[in-house]
Amino acid sequence: MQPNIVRIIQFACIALLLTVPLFGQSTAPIQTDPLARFDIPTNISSPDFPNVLTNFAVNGRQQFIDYMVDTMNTRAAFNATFRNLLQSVENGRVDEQAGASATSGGTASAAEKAGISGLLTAALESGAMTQTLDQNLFTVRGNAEGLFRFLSGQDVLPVCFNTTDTSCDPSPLNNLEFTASFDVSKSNTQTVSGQNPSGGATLAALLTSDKRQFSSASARFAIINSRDLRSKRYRDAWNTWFSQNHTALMQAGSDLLAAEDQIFLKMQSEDANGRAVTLGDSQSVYQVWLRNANSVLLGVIPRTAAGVRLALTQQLDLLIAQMRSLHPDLDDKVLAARSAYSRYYANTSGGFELGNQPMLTLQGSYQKPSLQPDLVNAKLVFAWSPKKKGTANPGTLTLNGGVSIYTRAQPKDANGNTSRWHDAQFAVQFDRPIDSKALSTLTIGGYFQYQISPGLVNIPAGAMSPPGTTITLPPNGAQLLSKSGTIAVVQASMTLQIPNSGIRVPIGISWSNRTELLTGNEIRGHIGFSFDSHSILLLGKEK
Amino acid sequence: MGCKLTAPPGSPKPTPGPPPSGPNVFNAAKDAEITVFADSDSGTVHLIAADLNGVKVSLDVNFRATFKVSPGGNILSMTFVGSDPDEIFRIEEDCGGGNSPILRTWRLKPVVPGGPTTQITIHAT
Repeated sequence: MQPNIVRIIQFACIALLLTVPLFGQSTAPIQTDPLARFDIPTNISSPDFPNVLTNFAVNGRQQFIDYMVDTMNTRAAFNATFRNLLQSVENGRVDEQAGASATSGGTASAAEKAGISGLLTAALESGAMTQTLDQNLFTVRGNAEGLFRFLSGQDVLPVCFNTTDTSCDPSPLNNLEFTASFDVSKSNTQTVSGQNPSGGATLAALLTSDKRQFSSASARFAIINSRDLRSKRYRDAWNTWFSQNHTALMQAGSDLLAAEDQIFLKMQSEDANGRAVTLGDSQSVYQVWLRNANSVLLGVIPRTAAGVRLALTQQLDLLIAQMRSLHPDLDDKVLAARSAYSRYYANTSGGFELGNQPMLTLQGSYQKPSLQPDLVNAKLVFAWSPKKKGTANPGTLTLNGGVSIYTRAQPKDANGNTSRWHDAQFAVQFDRPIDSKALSTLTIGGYFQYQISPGLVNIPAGAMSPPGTTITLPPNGAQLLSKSGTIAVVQASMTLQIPNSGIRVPIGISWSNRTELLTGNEIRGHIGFSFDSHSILLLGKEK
Repeated sequence: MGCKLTAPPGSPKPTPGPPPSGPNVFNAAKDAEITVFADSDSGTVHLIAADLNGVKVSLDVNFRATFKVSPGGNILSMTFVGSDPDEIFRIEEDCGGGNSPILRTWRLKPVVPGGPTTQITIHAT
């Protein structure tokens, strides 16, 4: 393909990524499984089956109202209600780092994010930003406390049974994360030229990257981690917010109960003939239906999710038909209950927004870049959400500042001078979910690296000269100084996620004025795949 | 002031950890005065509204609901708020003297079993 055509395609991709938010602002009606919140796959194994599913007046009032709203086909009017808001809380965090750093050989992010993983995160990413040689990096991140609890057979998300038990409180280890990255790519070849620090001769070599090797390891500690719902800071902030807003919350909670009672109490206080019975009486419409529905669900053999789902749907529809005879205006009451629910969560959303407070993370890492001397990097990462809107994270601004030094002094010129300083870095990135459920997130970022010392390449013994040249390389290998200067990278990416799965796929493109070892513009594509095990634990399928 | 609510024999016991567990049907003497409240590890979960048989029950400054058991069946409906939808919290009876047994556990997350509201049934004996 012609280079110009490639450039056009690349710029078209950048333009597309930058304009996608314009299309993402209007949220399409959400079509979801009306029984999703009954969590049938889990509850068919519950010791309380089938009551856990059928006795919705106790176990899931709003889930049943959700189901009725679905059967009334008025769902689109209620997209902004709690179900979506809560999904946004769980899925909308854009502050958690999954992959490798911008200085690695394979990354999808210009800046490192401040968030710490809950248990274990794995990411596979392709495409370098500042490195000359592209790599495919596999990065594993583990939370120190989460891993300790997991490996020692304890609950990863512990729950205490009384307030005096402190064993479930998060320890400082909850803010500590360890990371390791490995190059899993096939070798990559690139022509590199520069000055040999021993003598000053200009050299060029056809370099082939190492393959399947350790790339970097780091430790990260969240100094300020208010976005952790278990953190004392978040809880204190929430309690302060509650004390300031409890009057409005109590009114919203009371309105919600009143609206629900309009639907639930009558079927619990009348029999099938419309005669009044004692609340909760065994002859009430609800109790008679409950016994029958339980009997039907117990008769589903084998007890599969699909079979139970079909039976439950039939039973719920039977009850709704009976409720319609009790309430000629059932639809109005359901809509009123849904509206009360929306108001309740409009009030509570302010508390959830407290989770968007600033974060500060300190990171130290040991890096082993391909064909270059080893480095140690220290970095401060700051995250801040500048605007509050709903419970979905409206966007997070991330700032990085750091320095890298060689593990031992390296040549910095051809005059015999050496230095341990390699570079200073600064990165800025903005992540913004572009739909109410944060199924896609737009990221725009910039990375700047001032090379205190020129880039240094280790030419291995036996390296080949570039084709078409007559340069003779030292047989035992040599070092090569590239040109010093500033590396600037701009990046745009889109991260797609499968809700409640912990799976995210970042796809992006970057432009840089040069790479560590070569001058000249570079446009590169980046793609990754990450999995966060913590999201699975939050679904309630713990241990 | 002793405990007034008793779960019928054979009722499920509340157990620590998810999912929410415990009985939702209780017995109590007619006219018994009962106080219930929410308790949590995080200290952020509060009972913010309650009604008995559709009649609003006032909460005190500590977000506790006190009501008198009516003859026959009683349905106590409750609304809660908290900082973490996944946290398993406890619905307890205040029996006085620092004694507050757990009636059942619950969570705000609207996945069965869970949600911002729930109910318990109290049969007057």
